[in-house]
Amino acid sequence: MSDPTLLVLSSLADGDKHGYAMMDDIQRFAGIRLGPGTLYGAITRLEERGWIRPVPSEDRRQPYSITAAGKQHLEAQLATLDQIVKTATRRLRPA
Amino acid sequence: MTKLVRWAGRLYPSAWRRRYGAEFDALLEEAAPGSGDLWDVLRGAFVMRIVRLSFPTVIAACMVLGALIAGAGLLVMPISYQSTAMVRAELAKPTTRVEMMIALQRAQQVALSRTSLAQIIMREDLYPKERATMPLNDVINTMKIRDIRIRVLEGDDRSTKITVQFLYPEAARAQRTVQELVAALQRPMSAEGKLEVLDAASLPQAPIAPAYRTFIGGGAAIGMLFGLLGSAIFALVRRRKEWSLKRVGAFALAGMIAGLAVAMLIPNEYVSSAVIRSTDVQGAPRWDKVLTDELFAGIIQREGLYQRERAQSSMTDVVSRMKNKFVRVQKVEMAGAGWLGPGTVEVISFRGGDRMQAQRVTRSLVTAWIQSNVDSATKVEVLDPPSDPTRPFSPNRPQIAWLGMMGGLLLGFALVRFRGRVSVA
Repeated sequence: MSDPTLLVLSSLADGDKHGYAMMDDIQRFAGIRLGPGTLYGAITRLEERGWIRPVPSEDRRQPYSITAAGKQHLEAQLATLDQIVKTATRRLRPA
Repeated sequence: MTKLVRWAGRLYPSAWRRRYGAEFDALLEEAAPGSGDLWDVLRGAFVMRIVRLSFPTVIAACMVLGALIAGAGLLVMPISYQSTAMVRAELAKPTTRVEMMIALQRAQQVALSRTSLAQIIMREDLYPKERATMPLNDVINTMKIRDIRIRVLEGDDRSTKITVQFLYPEAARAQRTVQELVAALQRPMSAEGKLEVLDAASLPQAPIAPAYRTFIGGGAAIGMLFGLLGSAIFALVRRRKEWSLKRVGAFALAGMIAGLAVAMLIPNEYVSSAVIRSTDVQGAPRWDKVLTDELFAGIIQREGLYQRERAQSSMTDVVSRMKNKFVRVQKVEMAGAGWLGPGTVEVISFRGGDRMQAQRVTRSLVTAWIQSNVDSATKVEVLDPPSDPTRPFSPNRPQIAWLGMMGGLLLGFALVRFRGRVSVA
């Protein structure tokens, strides 16, 4: 659940963001503060895999957007997580 | 703290800095990093450096690492002193070169027999550490194979020069042991001639230098091999983006553990062998006349071999299995074996689950061969008595573990890829 690449993709699903905006967004929706090293490790991996791409910008702060392949990967990951959540919830519910 | 974290950011590889440096610095300015972020950036820089190492760098680093490990190994290697003596063996009667060599062989067998070497070890108090942890038989074998060198140099039909060398961590003991070995060679030779000392056992002044180049070169070569293999696997995993290095590595580790577990379940097998030379005026020696079913049945009963098989099948079947599967007689075709004279050189060996038992069975077979030829025209000579197999012949555990790891790697690749395809579908 705390996979940095999944958190970054989830953040970008809402719209283009630069590094600090992603950090802030992730802290708000997941309660996890990604360190600069971890965040940029995830950004590097995601860009190499073609799941995010840099958006042209004049600012030093580089915004990124999620690609179609990135969305597909995020959906697959969320489906798995959803399955886990549903199963665990059902099992925890008193008979 | 921001300055310190920015400095840590400089530790990222230069190619990465060219692409992400400006935006990373902008993030650090905006995020006001704390002490936890310093560690996070340092870790990120280290990981990025490892992941982005170029192929030649990985190979060079692995080679240097291998050479360094080999160098460290050299530092802890025990030093050895080598004492050498030169002697001349002379036979009383004029004879042939072959007879001379056979006389020397006999003298060597006596001098290097277990009894003779055990006495030398005790008198000179050699190998105290080894004797505290290993059976004396193993210590004798190590001494014979690793530390004693007896070389036959030039000579003619009547006399020949021989060097006797001994390697030991103490110079004085090395010298005294060579003196003892020369004396042990002199005793059997006195019956047929004499063994004259030309150069007495030397007192080595400096330890012999280990083969630095070979050792360090070997370390670098092994390092290169690991680098090549590691880089190839890593490159393969990176290219297939859906593959996970951790998963594939876990499969490889599981394969290695499974291989080791299987190897541990396979019982040890020891091979004891003896070398025999037979001269038969009427033709080749006939082992089939000697290795009879009765002989094998006697050995099986005496040694209590194959008890489970004997309970399930007849003695004839057990004997047949032992004969065909565990006993081998092989003719040796040796280049340059002409000095041994006319005749056939053969290796007889037995493979069994117990080390000492394997030696005893081979000895029984050799004895049977000698006894069957006592009254015949065949002259039999034991060139090498039944060996004491200190290490098991099988299973080769490192090889099985290695194969298990490779199998695990392949399975890991296959399963991870299969899962990837299924999830995409």
